[in-house]
Amino acid sequence: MTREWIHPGLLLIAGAWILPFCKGRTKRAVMILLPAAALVECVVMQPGTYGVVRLLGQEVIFGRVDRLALVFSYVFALVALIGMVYSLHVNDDAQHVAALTYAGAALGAVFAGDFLSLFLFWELMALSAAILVLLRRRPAAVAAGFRYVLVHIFGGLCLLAGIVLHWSHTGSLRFGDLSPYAGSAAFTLILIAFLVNAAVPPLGAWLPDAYPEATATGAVFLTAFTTKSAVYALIRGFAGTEILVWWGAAMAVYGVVYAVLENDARRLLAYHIISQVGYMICGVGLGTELALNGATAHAFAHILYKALLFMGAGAVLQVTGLRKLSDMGGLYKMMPRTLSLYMVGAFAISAVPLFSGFVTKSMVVSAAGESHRAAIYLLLTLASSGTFLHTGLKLPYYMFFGRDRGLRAEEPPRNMLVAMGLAAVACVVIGVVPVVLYSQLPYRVDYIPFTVRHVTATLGLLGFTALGFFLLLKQLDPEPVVSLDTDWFYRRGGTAVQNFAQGALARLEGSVSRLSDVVMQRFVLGVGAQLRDIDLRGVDAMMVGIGRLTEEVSCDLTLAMSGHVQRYALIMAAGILAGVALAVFGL
Amino acid sequence: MTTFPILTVITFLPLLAGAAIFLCGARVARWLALAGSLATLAVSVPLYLHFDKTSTGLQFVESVPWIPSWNVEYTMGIDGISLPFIFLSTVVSVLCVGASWTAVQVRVREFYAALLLAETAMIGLFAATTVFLFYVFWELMIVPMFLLIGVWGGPRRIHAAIKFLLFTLAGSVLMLVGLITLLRTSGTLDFEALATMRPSAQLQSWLFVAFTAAFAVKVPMFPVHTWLPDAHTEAPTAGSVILAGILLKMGGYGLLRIALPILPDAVRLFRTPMLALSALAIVYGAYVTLAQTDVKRLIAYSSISHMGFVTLGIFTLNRNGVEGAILQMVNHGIVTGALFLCVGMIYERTHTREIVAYGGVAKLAPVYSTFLALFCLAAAGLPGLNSFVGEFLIISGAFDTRPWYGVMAVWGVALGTTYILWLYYRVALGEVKPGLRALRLELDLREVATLAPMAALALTIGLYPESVLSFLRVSVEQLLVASAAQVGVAGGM
Amino acid sequence: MTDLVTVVPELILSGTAVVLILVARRVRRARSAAPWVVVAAVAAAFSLWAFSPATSMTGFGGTIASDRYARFFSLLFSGNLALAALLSVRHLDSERVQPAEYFALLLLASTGMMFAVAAVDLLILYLGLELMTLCSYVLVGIVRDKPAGNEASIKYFFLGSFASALLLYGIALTYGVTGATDFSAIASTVSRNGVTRHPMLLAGVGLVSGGLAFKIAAVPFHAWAPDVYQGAMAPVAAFLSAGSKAAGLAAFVRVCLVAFAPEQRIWSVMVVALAALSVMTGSLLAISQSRMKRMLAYSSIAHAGYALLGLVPGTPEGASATMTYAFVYAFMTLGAFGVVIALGPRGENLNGYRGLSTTAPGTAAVMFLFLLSLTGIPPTAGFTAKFAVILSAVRAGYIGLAVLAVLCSVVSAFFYLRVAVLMYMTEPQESESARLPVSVVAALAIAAAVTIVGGIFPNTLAVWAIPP
Repeated sequence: MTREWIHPGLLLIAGAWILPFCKGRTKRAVMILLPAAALVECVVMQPGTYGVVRLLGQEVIFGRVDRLALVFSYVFALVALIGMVYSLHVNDDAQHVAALTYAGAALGAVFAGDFLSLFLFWELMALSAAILVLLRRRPAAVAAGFRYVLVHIFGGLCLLAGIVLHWSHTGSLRFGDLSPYAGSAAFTLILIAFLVNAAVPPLGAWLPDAYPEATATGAVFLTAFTTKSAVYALIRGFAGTEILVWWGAAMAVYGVVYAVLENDARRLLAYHIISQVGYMICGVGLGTELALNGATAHAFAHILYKALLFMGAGAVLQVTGLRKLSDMGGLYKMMPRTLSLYMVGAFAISAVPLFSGFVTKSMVVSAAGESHRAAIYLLLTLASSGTFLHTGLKLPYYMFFGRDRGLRAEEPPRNMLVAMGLAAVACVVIGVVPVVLYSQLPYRVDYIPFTVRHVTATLGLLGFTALGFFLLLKQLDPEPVVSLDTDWFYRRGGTAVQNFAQGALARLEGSVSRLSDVVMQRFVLGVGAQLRDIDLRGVDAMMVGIGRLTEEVSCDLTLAMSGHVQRYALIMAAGILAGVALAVFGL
Repeated sequence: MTTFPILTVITFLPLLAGAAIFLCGARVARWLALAGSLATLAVSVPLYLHFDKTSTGLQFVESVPWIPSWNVEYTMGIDGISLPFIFLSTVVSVLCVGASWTAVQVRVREFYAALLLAETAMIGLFAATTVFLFYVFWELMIVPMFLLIGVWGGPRRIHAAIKFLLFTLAGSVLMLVGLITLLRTSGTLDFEALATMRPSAQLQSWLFVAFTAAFAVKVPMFPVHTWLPDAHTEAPTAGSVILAGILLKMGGYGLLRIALPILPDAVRLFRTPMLALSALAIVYGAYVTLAQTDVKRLIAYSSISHMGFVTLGIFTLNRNGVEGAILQMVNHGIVTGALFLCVGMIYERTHTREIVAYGGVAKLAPVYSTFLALFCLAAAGLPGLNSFVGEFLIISGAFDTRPWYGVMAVWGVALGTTYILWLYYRVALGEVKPGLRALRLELDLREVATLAPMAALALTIGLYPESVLSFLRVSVEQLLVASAAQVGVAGGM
Repeated sequence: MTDLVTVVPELILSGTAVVLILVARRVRRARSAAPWVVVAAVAAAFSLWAFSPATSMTGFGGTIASDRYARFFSLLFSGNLALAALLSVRHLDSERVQPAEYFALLLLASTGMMFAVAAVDLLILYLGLELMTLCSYVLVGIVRDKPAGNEASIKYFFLGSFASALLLYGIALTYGVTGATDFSAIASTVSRNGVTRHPMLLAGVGLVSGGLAFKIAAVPFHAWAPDVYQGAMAPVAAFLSAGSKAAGLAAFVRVCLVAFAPEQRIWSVMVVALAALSVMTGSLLAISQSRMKRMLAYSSIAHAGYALLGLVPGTPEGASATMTYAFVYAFMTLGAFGVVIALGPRGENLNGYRGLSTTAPGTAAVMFLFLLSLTGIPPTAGFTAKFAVILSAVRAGYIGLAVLAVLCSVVSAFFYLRVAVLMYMTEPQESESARLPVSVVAALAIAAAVTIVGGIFPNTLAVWAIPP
């Protein structure tokens, strides 16, 4: 320990275990106080290096505090607080413990100054997240949870292998910019591990697969940490890696396409995470100061408004128990507050001016423009229009307006609204006074979002999108009987793009998630059962067989001991003859 | 060097306590046993305080002439490799006494006497510095374990006990021939003396086979592991804990103590097959574990996989690997021991070991499932808990020498995470099984007190592995130097 | 006069026997006779150290030696005699055996054994062994109204006389070649005249070893043992398994090391064969036995094999290993038989041992100790003895033989510890536990003491076991 320093992550992880032991009011107090304390701690924290431990002859740095780490730590702690408020009403210690551990692990990963501690928290994140999914305790959730575990074990192992290789090559475990080692096996493995957590397709199938299955409250945490900590790690180690540019852009579009096709509210939002993360990864790939700032800022903003959106969808789920857009509608009468708060998030994500998305996403887009990458610029713009289409228009329309299905519902518990309120405020503040965020970014920002050209362009885009939406409303109307997520679309028949999307991408995406099932079922459990039988019938039987054989030999020998004295004498005679023969001729 | 024969005292104190138990009534047996094991633990404290981490030689050496006709002396002493195991033995014994406080109701005196005899055997084994004494304690260990399994065990206990006996005996008699041959060729059985002289390569190979036969059964390595599941499953909780905690470590310790320094050439010769067997054990064990439906059996098979890491690490023959192997042995002792304690505690209440009978325990018994979660995560090799460090060292050691075995090990880690989390999910999470609601599943103070030290150890070693590694660093260095040295050099020294 | 000094123990024992026969009518109860036998045995043992000088000396024209080798075994025989006497008390009264005759026979048999080990002349050796065997024939069948006993005694007699014939024939051949019956004379003549390869002599060696192998019940001269042990009274079986085996071994060792020293190559090969066969057959056959005495009989065959291992190299160390083994084995087996006797009719059958640890924990514990010792698990005397003999086998370079031996000891572990399983891990059928007579308790205590002390301080025995 260089200076007095309490690791906020460890604070959460350790503190979480208080919960099972206290009840009622105190428990709620603890639930609020823990993340609050962590937040305060992050805010007051000064840059520097803390918590250095010598381990395996290496320096393990638990607290590498610099501007980049701090930005992420702020938002992580903040969303942890919001999330806990949101889930105050839930009475399931396991969930809270898992959630807090998850948040703590994310903070730990952000502050990790070396690969060992990074890996430590990385794994911890995967586990706690998986448990959050499992805790919905539905068969579907369990299946999804184990797919999640499987994928992240894969990622974790890539990371571990990468670390080991990196260590044996460079002899150092320090986690810094890896570009010097570009192309080496370690580089690739670690990159893959990060990309898995960033849900980069096709490695990203786990995300829309698992998040919608999580509990209403758990989903809020899930959206925040895993992907964004991956983004952080990428910024840290892989800034300016060319492949990420294209990959990120493709990802942005991919996510949007799927979100458009989507009917399950939370699944839609989940796909949309992929799209948004695409922006950030693209920014990382661009690697210019502006781009990195943009990626960071966008991560910051995104965590907040995405949490807000998930809270909204979760609230509806909580109240109505419905997931399918096609089943909802006309909720605006019953839950106006939820609607309005949700819309804040929707505008933020769609980058409506004066909302947080506008001031952050635009940084990435313009970064693409400044580095003269027209194609990327276009892709990203296209994606952002799609974003508005589905999150800003489609989802609220079907959820709150649309045809009234006479659902009985009321506002969700107050703590949910409070949590959403917090998030909404944050979105607006950032949107209105971006400097609050800009001043925290790793590099100096001289970017002005509110240029006439930029604002008008955005508004134009949004306007046309909205127009298109309401013109095509009939086409987009989801099938009431829809049970599956994406299949209603081809029944209607759609455009070539949609067919393509339905065909190729859906098959890919579906197969990826099915693959994990197959792996789990056949290659893991199946092989296990096979080997168990082999172990019993083969190996063990062989060992026991030796014993049996001995016993049988003994029984056969017993027959020779007949008890007839003449036979005994015969044996003796034979023996003596053999002996004499041996003596006389043998030698 | 202390004049006070501390090692002898530590070794035979439990035996005395066991004898005392027979003199006193059954009522005080538990307290006597607790007192005896605690006393042993207390007496062993100076070992850690006065242990010189920088010296390569044996410490606290005692030597008394014993059997001049075979040039065998009664010598005891410890170095960095044996110290952690002595610590483990003393701690585990105390916890075993605690764990069987209510579980054992029949023949209480005999039970605790056997337990303490086992402790004597364990400590003596790790403190012995001649192969003869090593063998004596090795065999002595069989007797109490045989009784513990057979008398206080589960329904198929007799089968399990006889199987355990015959397997271990079959292995160790070969070791007997081996050590007799060793005695004949080199005239001494003292570890240090033997390390300096090299038998011919061919003889070494035969000796290696003989000794490894014994060690492999104990570890257990792949083909001869089948006694373990039965023994683990049928043994009473304390028995399982001792089996997992100490008995399995005897094999690995033997490899480190005898095979590596005394038969280096043979070790290099047999290295690849041993590595292959270890890797096989890791993956194979993990797979078989996945398919188990009985909690204890599941943990037993996971031990096979985990001990595979140990042998893998030992035969990488580099510092990371060997240190990792030793650490892994200690960790496995702690974690698996603790898991068996957990299983035993809930078994006392539910009287079933079938996983399907459990579910949603977390809701009914938060404290219990908190501990269970901790130990499961530790077993899964979660970073920050003890097992991770050992496995990490072993894997990196494997990557340095034979990457493919490293890959196998990583694969084993993956499976390990899967089965252990799945176990936890099926037991603690999920729907609450109706049968469980009626029972008082939550732990009482004694049980918490039994598990807490294990948890503390798991966390301490996990967050600060130096607490163990610092003891064995020098000794491992020396061990590797000795085993790496070529014949000529060794002869010269 | 000096001649008599060499045979003081023998005199004491035979004297006591004569007295007992004279007062036979007076002696009704075994309890009243046994003490005298014990006293005689102790006196004999005492005299071994008191009356004979530390150095070895010979008497009766150099046919009987009183050296430390003979003394070692005589001590063993006195112990054997005392324990057998203590163990017999109960049976004699229950089986209505004439105690005086019985004890006289015991005493004379022991006398025979002592002569056999003290003999340095083939004829004296033969006489001693015959004395022992003849008494044993009677002892085996001493319960007149028990057909099993009579059958056993007849079998024993037939086979025994066959073996004696072989022995005598061997002696004759040896004499024919060398013109001497004195051990050292035989050796010197053979080496002097260079008749090492003389077929007659070789045949003689083979026949003599065969005859002696019968006494120690080594395969293939073992067939009598199971039937005899099972038919005879438990105490007699114990007496024979410990005593006659030891006597046979002692004679075997002395003959091989002294008389046939030049023929070492030949007899060591034969010893290897005998040992291997005995160890294997004995261990294997014992597995499928359900009756205790029969099982112990087969185990005694196996142990004869182990004891012979020491003789393989033909070195003094090896011989002393064999001596130690014989000594330790005598007390182990006496202890085991002692438990069988202590349990009475229940002890004859393996099932009788179910749940013994609950009904009679003390007895069970002692039995467990003896079983461990017979298996050869440290820290019992059985282990150190086995260690010594295997060591000498390895010294002679017969590593394969050593491996075979230890593997067989695993097999034997199975049937020994099956008894432990019955005692400790099964429920008792009948809960009655008979009070043990003091004499039996004393015998068991002595045997247990030897077993433990010999295990923890092997040297206490090793220093006495001085080969010829």
